[in-house]
Amino acid sequence: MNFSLDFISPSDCETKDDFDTIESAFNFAQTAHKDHKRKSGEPYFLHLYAVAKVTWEKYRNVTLTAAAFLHDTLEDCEKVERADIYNTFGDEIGFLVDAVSKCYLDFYKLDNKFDDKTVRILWAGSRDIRVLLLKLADREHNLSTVKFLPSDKQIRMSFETQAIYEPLKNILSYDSPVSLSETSRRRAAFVARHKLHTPLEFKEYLFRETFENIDNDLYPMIYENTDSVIWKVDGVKMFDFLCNSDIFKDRIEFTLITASCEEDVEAYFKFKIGVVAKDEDIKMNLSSYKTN
Amino acid sequence: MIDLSTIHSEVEVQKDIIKNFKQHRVINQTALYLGTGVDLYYNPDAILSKTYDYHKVAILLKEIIAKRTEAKLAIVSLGCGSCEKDKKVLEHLKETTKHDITFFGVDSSMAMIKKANSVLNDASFDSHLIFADFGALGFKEELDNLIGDYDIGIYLFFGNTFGNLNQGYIADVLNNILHKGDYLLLDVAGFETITTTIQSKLFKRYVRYLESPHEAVFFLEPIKSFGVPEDCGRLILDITKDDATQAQVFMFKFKINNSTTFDLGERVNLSPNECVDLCKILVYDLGELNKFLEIKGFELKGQILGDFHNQLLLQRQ
Repeated sequence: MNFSLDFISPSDCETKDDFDTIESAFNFAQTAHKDHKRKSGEPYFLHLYAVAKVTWEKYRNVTLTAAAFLHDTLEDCEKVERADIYNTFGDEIGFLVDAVSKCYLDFYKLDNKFDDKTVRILWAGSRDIRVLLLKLADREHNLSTVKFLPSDKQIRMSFETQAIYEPLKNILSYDSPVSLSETSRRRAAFVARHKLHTPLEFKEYLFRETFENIDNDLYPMIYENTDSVIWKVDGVKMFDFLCNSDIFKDRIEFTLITASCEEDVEAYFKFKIGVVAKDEDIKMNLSSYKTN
Repeated sequence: MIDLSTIHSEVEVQKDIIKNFKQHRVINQTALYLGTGVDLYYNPDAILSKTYDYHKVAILLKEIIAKRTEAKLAIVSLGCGSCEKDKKVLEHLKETTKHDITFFGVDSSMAMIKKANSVLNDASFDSHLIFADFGALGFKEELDNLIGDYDIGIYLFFGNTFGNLNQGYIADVLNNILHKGDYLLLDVAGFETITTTIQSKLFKRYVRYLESPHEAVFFLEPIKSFGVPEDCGRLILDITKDDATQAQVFMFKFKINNSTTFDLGERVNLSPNECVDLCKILVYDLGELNKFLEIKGFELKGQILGDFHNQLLLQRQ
């Protein structure tokens, strides 16, 4: 299936080079993802096209839209290396694509290393706001096809969206877009107002907000019918917290607690059906849960 | 002492334990109380807990027999162990009633029966000890031959041992042994409801056993006696929920770290990550337990609720 770059024309761009950059990314991505299909069975490129289109419509930024076409090449295309993207499309596009690729904890041209993927992306967003905008566009489109994913991945995506990306959308006025410089200023103002000195503090703040925001429409969806999803926490401190927190203690049910000494405990639990949890500082490791 | 034929010798018990270990990697609870296990378990001070109110238990029993002053009373202790508790309760009961009381202690560990024999030596009531497995086929008939003439049967199941066994199985065994109208006094650990706060406290209570010189040694004794080196694995605790009773199950296991091979009549190999179930302790949600027992044909007639240890008096329907 061949696609055409029909949402943008050379006259929409300031220079011909700008159009060429987007067209080049469009062609690169189409070739790289040629044989890929989405879980829904559609050609994978449809997703890239949709994300690129929405970023263009919202921000009219060449770098952002080109990166949108390329944003899954590093994760999904074996033959594409980070060097290829940086060398072919330059450092700005390279950085955006690098930043939204979950397969790395470092950056190709920087020394920074991170333990946490969300912290990494928030840090990258502080350097270039387009990282966050690209991620929001990507997530929004992924959610539109979430039903094709296994239930545990649906829940993880929903939770992550609720915890991080919904608040970010509000902070960055994503649904009523403003200029990139204003978007960037709004992020900076937000972190300054809440004294969030590091990306980790920013992430924790967003999680905290999420747990307090019990009335949000998306939230009940996350835990509805999730009794087949088993969450896991490590360590006696976290176990004690879950057991004794007013917010959690009546809303969860342990399925297995295993210990080889008091300090070395793993506790598996599920949310009781129809109950929504909220808390200010639970740090559930999203990658640690499994399904029955 | 009266011997029943349902168990001929400890050799047979040992064979059953080994078979179960080979087939299911499970140590029968009986194994904990055999041989040297008895000495590890036997601690009169611990058994005669100061928090256990023998007088209250005796009063609870007295209330159900009060109206039948002439009745001959058979009190049968299932898994009687050393009979320390039974003796205390019966002595209190003797003080408060004029009933003709005869005590029958049943245990499948000869070593325990011997301990019980010395404990009951100076008892003020008529007592008999029976070396038998009360779960074995034929036990009921043999017991009926012994206590058939008695008017009331009261069965004691002390020491939370009810919670060491498969719940459906043990409830069926009790239902078969008891006759309609007989009473069952159960010692059970539990709470009116089990919250996560209680779970947290229970975790702390039992996780200590993993490193306790007394409990850890007691749990490991049976596999040590099979020739399993202690350093080939480690003691772990798994906490789950019992499907039948909704009780919290505290399962102490031996998890293998290094492959080990030993001889139990034939070659047995334990490979890394294999687990051997050593000892199971149940802590009940008492509301759920009563529902379960009712389905199994036992109606609650009285109870003594403590902070953790509870006694339920049930009547077989």
